[in-house]
Amino acid sequence: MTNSGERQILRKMAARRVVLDGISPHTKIGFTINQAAAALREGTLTPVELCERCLAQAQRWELLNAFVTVTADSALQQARAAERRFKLGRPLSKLDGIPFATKDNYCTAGIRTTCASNMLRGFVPPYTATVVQRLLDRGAVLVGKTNMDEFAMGSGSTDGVFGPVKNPWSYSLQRRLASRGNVVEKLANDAPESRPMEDLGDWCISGGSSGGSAAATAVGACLFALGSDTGGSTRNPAAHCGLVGLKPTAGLLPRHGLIPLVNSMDVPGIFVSSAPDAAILLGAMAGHDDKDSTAVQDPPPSFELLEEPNVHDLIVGIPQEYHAPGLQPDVLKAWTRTADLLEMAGARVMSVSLPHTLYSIVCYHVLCAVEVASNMACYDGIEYGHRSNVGSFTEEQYAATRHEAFNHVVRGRILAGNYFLLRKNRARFYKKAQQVRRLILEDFRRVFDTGVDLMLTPTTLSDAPTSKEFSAEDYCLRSAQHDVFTTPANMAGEARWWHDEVK
Amino acid sequence: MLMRNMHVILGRTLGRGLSTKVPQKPTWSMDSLSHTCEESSIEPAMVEHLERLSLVAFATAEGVERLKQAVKFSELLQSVDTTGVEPLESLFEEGFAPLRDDHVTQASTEKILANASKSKEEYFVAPPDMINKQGHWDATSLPVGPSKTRDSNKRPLVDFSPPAPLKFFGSSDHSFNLRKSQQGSFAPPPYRPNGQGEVTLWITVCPISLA
Repeated sequence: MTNSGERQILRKMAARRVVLDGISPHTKIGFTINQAAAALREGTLTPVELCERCLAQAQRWELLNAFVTVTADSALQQARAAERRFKLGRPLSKLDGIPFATKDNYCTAGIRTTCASNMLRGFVPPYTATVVQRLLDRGAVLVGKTNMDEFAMGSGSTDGVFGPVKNPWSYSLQRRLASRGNVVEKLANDAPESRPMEDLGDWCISGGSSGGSAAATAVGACLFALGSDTGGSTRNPAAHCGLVGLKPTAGLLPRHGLIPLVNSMDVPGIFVSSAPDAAILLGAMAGHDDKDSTAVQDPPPSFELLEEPNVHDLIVGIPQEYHAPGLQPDVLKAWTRTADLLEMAGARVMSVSLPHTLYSIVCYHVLCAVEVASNMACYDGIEYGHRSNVGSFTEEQYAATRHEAFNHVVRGRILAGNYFLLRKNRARFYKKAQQVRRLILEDFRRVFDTGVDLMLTPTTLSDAPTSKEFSAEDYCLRSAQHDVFTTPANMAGEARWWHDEVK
Repeated sequence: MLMRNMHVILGRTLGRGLSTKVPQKPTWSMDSLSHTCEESSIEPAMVEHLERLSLVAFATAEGVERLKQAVKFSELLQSVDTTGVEPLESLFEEGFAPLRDDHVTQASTEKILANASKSKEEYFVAPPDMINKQGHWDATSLPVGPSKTRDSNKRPLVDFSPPAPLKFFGSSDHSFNLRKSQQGSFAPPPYRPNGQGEVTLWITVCPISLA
């Protein structure tokens, strides 16, 4: 066998290993919910086996730092209970026995919920968030709480106190081959993660702020995960990690138990590896909740997807403003290709305009800071959370507590928010931002009123940057750039649905 | 298989002149967002005022600079004509958010107090609501030194012990201090200082606020 023949075989083996390692969206070992549910029903897989497999993946990929807390014991307990139900032939639902993870800003009774902040480091909620409870009631198995940016402020999952979340694609064969000279030597290695990327230069960010949920789902440590989406915090990491990320319409999924960042924009987000899975989850979690008066009142529609989707009657809008400055050629190519494929398949693809897209990041920036200044006011160290030993008087102690436990991002937003809320500034900034927000909402309404069924746009300007590139930019500027495509939907409240095929 | 066929069809058809609807060049630039405005100066008095309102400190000159940049960035909104536009205060303005009667439906003193660092019987404990000798609080009284680099976030002001390496443990590993207190009625008792420079206050606040 020639040297190149040998290399060819080794390369194929490594490629197969990459697939088996669960970092490909077409993974063989990581199941979609539908596949896993079918296997569990047939008995070819048991809930305990599936749970153990996911926990093993979580342990194997610990270097990604995707999890803050892994609840192995309780997960196995839940899996055993699911197994008993399957033996009796009485699974609770399609989600019975399916392992999942939630971002660490969802309250889970008895399990610490930190928001990746020192402020809530030891906080153990006495109740569980509604959406999480609905999943548990259907038999889903919670494997852990995932890492994030502190209090969900950020678009890289690099700013939490438990450290950054690394993108599993940093360890893809392609990247490793690109950075190593000796191909055969590398391929002979038995584990892809045995050569950390640190010594090679850099790893890629997973996106944020729900980076941990994305990374965990991408490597198969869970079959789906919950994130939150305020300005793109589910769609951004989903795009960077090669997953389907869904931001539901505001109000569809109740927010009780989701520690708020911006009340008027927060929604629970969903990470899955296929679109039909997202439909199952949406159906499982959507609907009225007595404990959240901003949740939808009427029963939601059914979220069944067609077996054979037909795009013939679909009208797809391409908003022209979404070719923003800085859009990378790869992303443009994927966008163009997808639009053209839809047109070839029979959809009617047309140009539309959302003229106020340009201002969405500025608008978001002001509204976010203002609501953060208000929401973060509850952290004074008295009722829960970190409490400083400094200060004998109220203001001193509150200030020391907040100063010690918040990172610079959180502090900066609180200060900016209070600046915008000063009486002399309120009309100029806050009221103005609210007016611009209405203009953005009206842009969307105008387009949908013309009969457009959906709009197709990029999610991010580029693929996942390296951590060096990401931290080189100034914080304000970088989140402004990275969030330009995702923030408009949060301000309008509309559902957005992303599937990145480029990765 | 289908995707491969689609690529072939696409290639052939594009060759015949189907033009994509996706714009191949940026349709706007950062310059189109420009708005001539002077960089606002943040006076020391303003810095102090904001710190007092926020009860967080800027900590470094960099923090003040960041605020200036944030304000300058926000000035871009002024270039939008919003004459006659109603501010959008809530996404649910066309619906209604139901309210319920203000009765206690679930209350467990034990659970509510469980996360408090300091509590006494069935009360939270707060420092007295007084200001210091200077007559106001200011950030310079924080016993922490300013750090000069952007790494300020990596050097915690208080030495929080590093998080335990993430190991697998069950929820049963959590133990939190459950105060043995009676589950009583929710009526707050009269305020009484305990004479030790501390005030016990009856406050129930949850980290969740909705609507």
